[in-house]
Amino acid sequence: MHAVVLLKQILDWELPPRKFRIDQETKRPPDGLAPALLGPFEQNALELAIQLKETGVVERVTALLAGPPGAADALRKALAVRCDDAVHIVVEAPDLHDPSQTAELLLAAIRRLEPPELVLAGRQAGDWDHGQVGHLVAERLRWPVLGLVWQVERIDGRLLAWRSGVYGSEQFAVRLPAVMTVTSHSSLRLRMGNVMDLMAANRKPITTWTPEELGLGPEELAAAGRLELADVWVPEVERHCELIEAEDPAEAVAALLDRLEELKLLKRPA
Amino acid sequence: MIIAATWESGGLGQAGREVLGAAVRLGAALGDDVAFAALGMAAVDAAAEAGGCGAARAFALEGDYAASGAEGAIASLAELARELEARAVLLAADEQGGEIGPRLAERLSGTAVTHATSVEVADGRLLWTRPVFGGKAFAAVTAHVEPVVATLRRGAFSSAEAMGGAAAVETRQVPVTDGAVELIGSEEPQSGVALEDAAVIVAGGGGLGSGEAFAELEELAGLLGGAVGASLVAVDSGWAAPERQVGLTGKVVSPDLYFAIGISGASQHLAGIGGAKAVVAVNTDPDAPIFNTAKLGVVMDWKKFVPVLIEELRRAAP
Amino acid sequence: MNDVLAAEATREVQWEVTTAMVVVMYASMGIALLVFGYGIWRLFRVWRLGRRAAVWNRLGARLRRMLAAIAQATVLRRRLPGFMHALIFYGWWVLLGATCVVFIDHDLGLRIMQGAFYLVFQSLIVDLFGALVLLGLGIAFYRRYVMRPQQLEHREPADALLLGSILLIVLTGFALEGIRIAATDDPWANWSPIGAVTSLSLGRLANDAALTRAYPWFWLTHLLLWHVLLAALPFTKFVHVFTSPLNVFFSDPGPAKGVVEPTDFTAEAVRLGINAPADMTWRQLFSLDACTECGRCEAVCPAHAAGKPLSPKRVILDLRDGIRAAGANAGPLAGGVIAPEALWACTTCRACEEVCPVAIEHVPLIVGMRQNLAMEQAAVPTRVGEMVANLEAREHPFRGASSGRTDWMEGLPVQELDSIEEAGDLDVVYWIGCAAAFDERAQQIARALVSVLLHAGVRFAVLASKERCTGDPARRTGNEYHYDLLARSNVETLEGAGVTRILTHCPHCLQQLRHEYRAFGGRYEVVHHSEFVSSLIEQGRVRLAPGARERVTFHDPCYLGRYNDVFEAPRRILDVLPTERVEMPRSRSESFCCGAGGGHAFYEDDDGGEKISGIRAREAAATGATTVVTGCPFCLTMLESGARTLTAEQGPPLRARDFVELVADALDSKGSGPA
Repeated sequence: MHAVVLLKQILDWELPPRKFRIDQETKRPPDGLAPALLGPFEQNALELAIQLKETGVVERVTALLAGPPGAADALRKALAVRCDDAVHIVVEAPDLHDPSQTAELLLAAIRRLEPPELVLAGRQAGDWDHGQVGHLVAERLRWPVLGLVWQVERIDGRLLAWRSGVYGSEQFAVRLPAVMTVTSHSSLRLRMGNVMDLMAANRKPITTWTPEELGLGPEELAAAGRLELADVWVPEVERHCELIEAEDPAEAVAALLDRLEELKLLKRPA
Repeated sequence: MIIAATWESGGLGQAGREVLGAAVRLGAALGDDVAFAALGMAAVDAAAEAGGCGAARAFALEGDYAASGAEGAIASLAELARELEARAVLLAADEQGGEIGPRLAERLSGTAVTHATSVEVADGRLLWTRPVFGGKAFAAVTAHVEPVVATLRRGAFSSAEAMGGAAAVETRQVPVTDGAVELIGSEEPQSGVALEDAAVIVAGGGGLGSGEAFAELEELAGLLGGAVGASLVAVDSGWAAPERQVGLTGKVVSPDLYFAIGISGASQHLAGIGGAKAVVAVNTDPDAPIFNTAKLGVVMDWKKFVPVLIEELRRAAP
Repeated sequence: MNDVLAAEATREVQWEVTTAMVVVMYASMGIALLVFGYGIWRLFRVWRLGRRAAVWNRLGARLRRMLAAIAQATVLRRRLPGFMHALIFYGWWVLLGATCVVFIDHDLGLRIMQGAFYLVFQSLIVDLFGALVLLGLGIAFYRRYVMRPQQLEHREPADALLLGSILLIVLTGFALEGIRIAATDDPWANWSPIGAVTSLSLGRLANDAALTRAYPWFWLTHLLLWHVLLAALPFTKFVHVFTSPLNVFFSDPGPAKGVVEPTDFTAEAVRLGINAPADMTWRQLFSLDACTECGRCEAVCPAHAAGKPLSPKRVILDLRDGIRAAGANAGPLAGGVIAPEALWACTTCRACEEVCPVAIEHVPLIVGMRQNLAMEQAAVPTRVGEMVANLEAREHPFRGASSGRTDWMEGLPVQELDSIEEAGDLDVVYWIGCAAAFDERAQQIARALVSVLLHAGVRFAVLASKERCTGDPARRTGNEYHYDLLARSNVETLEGAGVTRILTHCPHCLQQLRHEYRAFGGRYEVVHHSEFVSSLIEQGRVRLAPGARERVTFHDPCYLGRYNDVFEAPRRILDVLPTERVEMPRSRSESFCCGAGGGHAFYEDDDGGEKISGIRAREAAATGATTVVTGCPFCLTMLESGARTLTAEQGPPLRARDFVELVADALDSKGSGPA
């Protein structure tokens, strides 16, 4: 079985909020504000793909990414943990905000690859936080999709997937071919590749396609557009925290409970 | 027509009230009627209640939705939206809403807007606000193509109020799906208070250092009649179950009182507690961003503070 | 004296020894030598499995180190066992010398056992040293079987047999002397006091004739035991009599200590750390056979003291035994012969190496095996993986840091190197390091040092956002590939900026910039802020105001002290401040690690066991000091967290501070320094 894992590089999500800025011209964070890194949920998706390869559920994994030239780093990382192939749709423009356009680009590439039976995506890219691309790709392929998955096994020609539901974990059997979006889980921390693989990854070729090569010139891409980004701003954070001044835990507890009572937030039984 | 749709069992729940409230206000601004669709095994009561809260039409879309993942809900809502020529379908931004939103929009050849925190009408178009970059910023977006299927963040929209009147409840059955996604099993819903409905939440983060520490938080939550939450770090470390996660990619909660214990306050997490009336932060680092959000702060090692707090509450308990 | 030291004084050499006995002696000697040779050859085969190693540079230093070790200087650093060993060691040489004298006199026919030499050396001195060996053996038996220190390995019956045979050799030697004196009425008996006493006691037990009949049996026992011992040598830890001095000679003669051997990632077949004997150098393999199993390394190991599953001694012995048993096929060593938990517990503090009397280098072996775990097996603790991922993504090891690299200097008049036209006009470039950039507590160190530099009118600049982690935490955790990338980038930055003199407050950065970047072409003059501030004070450029005296104790950071031999500079500074300096029991080169080294600042284990930092904080508090002062941002964090675990009974609240914070507090602001 061939699996495709959809990746994205995003602005370092650990950048502290007070350092975060938006350039009003581009409606994006200014260049160089922080490094661009493989997103955390994409890391989880990649790890799941590699685990599926290890358990024999899939034979081949292709990492697919749409993004600027520098985003190839993320594909190197994918190759370093033993993805078999890497495909880069080089998008020169500022990153794509519209999930419909992103899905269209990825779809065009998926249709050119050896037909996959499984497409894995992160639950949402940590920049625009839409959480749509995986679902849109599935709908447009007319494949079933399951979201928030964190473990997958093969069972009687279908996949058995564990996912996070509203009340806790749920198990679903999913007919193939299918799309799954992957959520974070302690078992899905992206592994560290060994150094031989890391060095080999630097020598492996990465297939690059331009949107035009995929038949998606500016006009076609615009036609796929659904969402327009009107404005982006950073909210003001005002600190008005009242610190309980006490060295001793017992004093601190007493002071806190008093304040909570005064603020009518908690009633202490008499 | 604006459709508000939520999962219901019994009377109209808090999520339903908020989504309906948003739909009613949006309908008023656009001059559109509002339809409410309650999904679930026993959805009639909620639908009837919605009829008294501003919904012109009320639907009970009954059936076992869980069995097919989101597929049944998508199919039944798509049918309804087409029939009503809906301009917008509003859902709650929870795990199910996240599954349904983008796909329903795609089936209706419309646009999905996820995790919206507000909506306004400008020049006849809907302008949605939603958090981006893990909650560090907000974006205003508009859809080129309607209908819009929007998922609404819990606590961001005020509830629909009873305004008299009633709508006849139209009951429909969930359409049969092709079974491509089939429920095999699920964990029993946790007993006790659901995070979204809890008046008090005691949440722990990376500062706790271990899974065992959560036992103490359970005890504290029990004494306060609340529920236990966790940050992404704590969940990713395997210390707390994923459904306990509070934040942009977890539950969005709106308790009266939120204890953030050993939580530094990444914006990802803060995005989930914006609806809390008061946050009490316990953290050793006085510069931790959680103190920017907290109303009351204690700069202390939780290991010293929490046991004393438990002891004090236990002593005060009757 | 001439009368006493009569020229005719001698004795009958090989009294009552028949030719047959001599033949037996030479025959057994021959067999012993053959067995001995076979044993050495077996060891040699193992040594030959290793890679090349450079052991002939700095010959003078190597010889000095070896001679000092032979002279027992290193063994004597521990009083009782050192004394014990020196007694046996020197005594044994004298006794062996006496045997050689007999050989020369009797077998070679050079009559040297005559006159004053016979009386003073062959009789008196040999007798006394024989007694000293007995004393040494007594201490050894007492220590091993009565005191039973935990650090000693108990290999029964080998230990008892070895010690017992030495004892028997010496006792039979005295018996031989006693019988001869008794039976021959030796006129020079008083020159052999022990022999004389023995002869008297033996005389009471049996008559001369019986003693004379027993003499050959004692003689044979004496010699055969010695031959057995000789033959057994290469099969027991006693081989150390040869391997230890040589190992000291072969060991790293400095002056840079603890420098990790770079990996050539451009090589055809890249060697990724140590996992098989062939991954080690021959001198590393040799060093395993130099171990005397004395256990001093274990006794000083901070990880062992905190109950972690690491004993440096066990690492050496398990490697030795594993490789002896399986030869070239021994392995996997990393994570197999040596458990991963043991390897990850090491803080690379080098206390084991410093205390080892035979100069075994444990840390390079441990780091080498970590390299294999990290780079080939990709099996590292979760936190190490996260730390490395953070280094890769953000070029600093502080995961989830809420600061930027230049936050610490907000509001300070600090110049960035980029903005300066002539770098040559600067006194020094101040390397901040990641701790002071990303750790809120450590930022105060940088701010304090800057206030001292400004006060003293030092012309300095910082690299600001051009700094990256030196790579030390990657290197010490075996992630050499990531280290290599960081080191090369930093050297490129420093070369590009024309930096020659660097000041740093971080001993880990110091070790990298001063020593370890040389392999990457980076040669700089690097000073620790203790050396720098101390010289500013000496030059009278720092004006200090009087203040209340405070009792302080100084914690020597491993990478400042043991790695870089900076012990006195921080103490000199404390001594001009209004402080009363007291020392902890373990200080200077014997300092006890804070627990942060070897990358542990980023993967401090939470296994419920005792924390190394807690042990050290208790030791600091026990001095009665109210502040434990140090000169390393990681030690500072560790000591602060250790101090928080102190209970009221363990002393008054303990603060942890960098010495430069004390200097900054004491600056006389009225008279500002030279402009």
